[in-house]
Amino acid sequence: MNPVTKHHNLLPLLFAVMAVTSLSGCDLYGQDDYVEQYMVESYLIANNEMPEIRLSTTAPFNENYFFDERAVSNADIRVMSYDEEGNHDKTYHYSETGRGIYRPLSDDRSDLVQPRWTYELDIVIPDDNEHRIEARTSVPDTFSVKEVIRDSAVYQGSEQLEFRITRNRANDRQNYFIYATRALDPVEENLTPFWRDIFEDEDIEEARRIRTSIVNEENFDLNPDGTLTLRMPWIGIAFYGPNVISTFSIDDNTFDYFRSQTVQVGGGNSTLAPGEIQNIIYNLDGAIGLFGSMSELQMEVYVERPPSH
Amino acid sequence: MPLLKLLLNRLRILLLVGAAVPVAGAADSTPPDIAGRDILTVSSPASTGEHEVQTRTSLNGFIRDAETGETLLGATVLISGTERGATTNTAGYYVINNVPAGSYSVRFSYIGYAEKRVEVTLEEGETKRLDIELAPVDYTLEEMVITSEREQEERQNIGTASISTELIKSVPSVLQADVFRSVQLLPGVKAASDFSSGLYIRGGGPDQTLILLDRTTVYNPSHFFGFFSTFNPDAIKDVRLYKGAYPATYGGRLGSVLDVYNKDGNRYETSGTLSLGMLSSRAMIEGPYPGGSYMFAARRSTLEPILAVLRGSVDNVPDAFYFYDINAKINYDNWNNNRLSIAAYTGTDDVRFPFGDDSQFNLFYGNRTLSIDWTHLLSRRTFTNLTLTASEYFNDPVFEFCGTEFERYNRIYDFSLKADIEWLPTQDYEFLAGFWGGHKTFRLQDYFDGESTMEEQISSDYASVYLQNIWYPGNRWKINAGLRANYFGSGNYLRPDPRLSAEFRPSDNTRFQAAYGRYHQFLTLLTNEAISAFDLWLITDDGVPPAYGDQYVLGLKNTSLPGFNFEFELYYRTMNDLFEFDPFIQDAAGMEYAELFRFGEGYASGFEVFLERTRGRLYGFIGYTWGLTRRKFDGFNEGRFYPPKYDRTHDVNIVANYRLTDRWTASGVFNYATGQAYTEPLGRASLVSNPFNNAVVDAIIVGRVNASRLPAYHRLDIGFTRESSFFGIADSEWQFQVINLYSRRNIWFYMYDFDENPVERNEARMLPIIPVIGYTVHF
Repeated sequence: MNPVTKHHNLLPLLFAVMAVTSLSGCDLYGQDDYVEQYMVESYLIANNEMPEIRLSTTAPFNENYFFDERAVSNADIRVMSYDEEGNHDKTYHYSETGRGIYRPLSDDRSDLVQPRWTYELDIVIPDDNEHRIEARTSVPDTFSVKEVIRDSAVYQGSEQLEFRITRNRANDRQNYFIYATRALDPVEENLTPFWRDIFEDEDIEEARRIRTSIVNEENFDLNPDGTLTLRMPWIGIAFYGPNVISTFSIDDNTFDYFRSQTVQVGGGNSTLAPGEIQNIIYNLDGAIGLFGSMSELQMEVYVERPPSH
Repeated sequence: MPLLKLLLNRLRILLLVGAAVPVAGAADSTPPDIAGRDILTVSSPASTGEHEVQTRTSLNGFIRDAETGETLLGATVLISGTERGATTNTAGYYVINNVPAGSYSVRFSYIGYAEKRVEVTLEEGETKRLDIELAPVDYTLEEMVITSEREQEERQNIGTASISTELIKSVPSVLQADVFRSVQLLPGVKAASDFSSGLYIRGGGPDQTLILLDRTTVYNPSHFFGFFSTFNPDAIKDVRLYKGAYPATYGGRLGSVLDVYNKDGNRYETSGTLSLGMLSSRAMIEGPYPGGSYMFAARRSTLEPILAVLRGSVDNVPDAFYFYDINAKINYDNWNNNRLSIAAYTGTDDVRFPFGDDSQFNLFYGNRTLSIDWTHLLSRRTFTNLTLTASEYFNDPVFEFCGTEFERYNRIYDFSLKADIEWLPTQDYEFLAGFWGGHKTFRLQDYFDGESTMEEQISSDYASVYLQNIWYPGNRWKINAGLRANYFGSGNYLRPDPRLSAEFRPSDNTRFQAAYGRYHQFLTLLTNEAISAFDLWLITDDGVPPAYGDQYVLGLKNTSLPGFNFEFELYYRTMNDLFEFDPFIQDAAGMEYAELFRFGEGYASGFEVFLERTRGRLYGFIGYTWGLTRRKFDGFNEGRFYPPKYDRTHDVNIVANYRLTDRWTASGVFNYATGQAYTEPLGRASLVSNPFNNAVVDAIIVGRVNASRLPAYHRLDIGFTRESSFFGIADSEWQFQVINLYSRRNIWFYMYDFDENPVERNEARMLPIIPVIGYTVHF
């Protein structure tokens, strides 16, 4: 038999193999359609008043987004509190005080969020076939400044702003922190070079309050007395002069939300390929968003302008 | 072990011969001489079918380049009338055993070289040494044979491909000729982008390909943010790619093997090349010395003068930007039955780049390798090879924002000993065994603002042993069965890897092939497919088991049409226990090593069609790949499989070269591929009252991850080469190329601007049209 003829005889087999492969590998992984979801936003801060809760819906990606236009009214909202032993303490009923913005009823509004307590969110939306949204958060313990080592320093000098704080660790979970800095004299001349470059030709109001990404507790030096030594990185300072530094110890919900949201916008240590977007981690049932909690420590510091600036 | 018993029962004495005689000719009944590992002795599976009487007759020798004395790997020897033949091994040595006594015409051929025929008479029991030199040819004649059938056959082993250094240098490539860019043209091999030389083979990422340079592992194979590979085309002798289902002689990667050999050096005269390019310039010198040869090649970026000019007038010009690599090799082969070679490589990239005010980053990464290779002919039918290897990988990116530094130091130190033995008991068997053991140290240190946030150092012994038997039962079958056992001390993992392949030849020109193999991988590379300077190697440990996978391959190869090769391969592979850093972990301080990972699985399937024209003025190939790759990780994409960005359903490459005149050659490369996968945002929402800074925190809502496709990718590159003389004292070559001739602005990925309402989508695009000019002098 002529080899070429043999070759031709193989072609049907070849095409059959290719066809079977193609069919068996039919890509059923298609793009799905947009589905509107409820969006919740609320932050319980230890020793602060019971917070407001914002309820809205998502928007199609290619449409305008304004909270007011997406706000959800007429929802029945409750928050139940549980003490450290898990005993139910109180149920807070919420009322709508602005479009999509809910606050506790006036009698409960001055109640403080208790550290180490657990709060459960329960939302029912009568206009949507009694759609239910549920979430819970455990409020991190509070912490305090044990020693002010240095609350005034020259920007990028050899000595950093430094404090010794108590440790609020609970169980085996290490704490996660977010630093936020609020400038008390936020004028353009006080902007540090890095932030001046970022906010060039833009409204510096956004630089007045800046925050860091999540920082693990294990980054701090643990002292023999159980306290932690905290050194403020210079990247967290946007203005020379007086600043208030807030250190937030965040709960799991806030931790999950912000660590995954950072990756979505290309930040953090993401190793995802460009164009691959993963959803944010939401710890809610029936909605997306954040029902989070935290404790906060504030310190006022002074950042001196270096002689060369 | 029945197979071994059968093997031993069929043991025959086989005599291999010869002192090295570096000229063509015959030398009868000489003592055994050296050869390297993987010697390829072929008793033609497609022979006449008659049972041939076992004799002690043998024909063997080296095949070399007539101009340089460089041994030719994979060259072909055919004894006319018997269809007996062999291909040279990695030492350029061939053996044909048990040839019936008589007179024969023996044909020697190699791609790019003039075929040679030698009349030989073999007496009963004679062992004849026949060293041959082949002369390189110009592709000027229509009828010129520019390939050898046997070599094509060798390349057509299942899952195997090779690419010639001539092709690497001749096809148009961005800024400069590059090995990986050329390999990316082969079916089954994809590129992540125009900016990446990373090899994505049959659904696997770059880390799933074992890259060896002179038998030493290379961990960082790229320069210039990954734009092109570290392998200097002037220094390379041979590039072999095992795309999948590779045999037991290799291990340690889930997917494939790229085996690169540097030149030994010209054994006859001192020669070299000087090459000026737009991005870098190269120099290579090679020559003989008493007892051996040497080769030295260096390449360095030449961008500094341009950057210096730009620095005064353009913002954000790097303070420092250079890369270099040096390859050196020295051989000593005037030593009976032995050959010794020492090869070294070092390469570094260094970029210091200020951006904005008071910020900068510094990228500093590279690789160093050293190998000492000793090849010894233990007996006339037993070859041994012993290699000491050392490899260091380093990647030390540092970012500084207003005095706050983010530093990372990633190191791998790898010292190993390799030993291989090849035994040729009869004409029907090849028996290979080997050991590869060593010590690997992995180090990862992260610092934030001067404080250590992560410090991992894992030192691990590792070892693997393999047995491989190549068996030719009957006249039309070839069976390759092997077993590789891997031990990795970090985590105390012991894993067996069985491998099996079979080939059936219903006719002289047709081969049906099937292969299966299991593979383990004890390392992983984190890469974001964008810039390789941020790549991070990670290693298995307690709680981080090795990844493993199975590969199944079916193949059909046909050479019925004169001057054409046709190849078809169908593959399916699994990937289990894939491990990589959890991308959602923002700060690793205080976390156990195993807690940093996410674990997943995946699979890939597809088929490849390859049609090659190997003769005439117009030659080249068309490759088509249909592929599907899926992966999934717990906690991501709701646990569903999804395609990685580099997944492409259809991928077509057309590579053509045309010899216009004696001096001018034209070449072109066209690539069409399905658009890469990306995640289409479906919805959006925002946090509007966060207590940290009150800033709006935008949220993108997606459905299935990477369920959408970018527009199709296509690009045409053309090039012209003019051979000329350098003031009458040396040959020279001009290269004129146009990359992306019609300036198709292929999309790399989409970016989203949330400052606009509604969100504005912007496109990050790949390369525009780029003219390239280069000049090379061969002296």
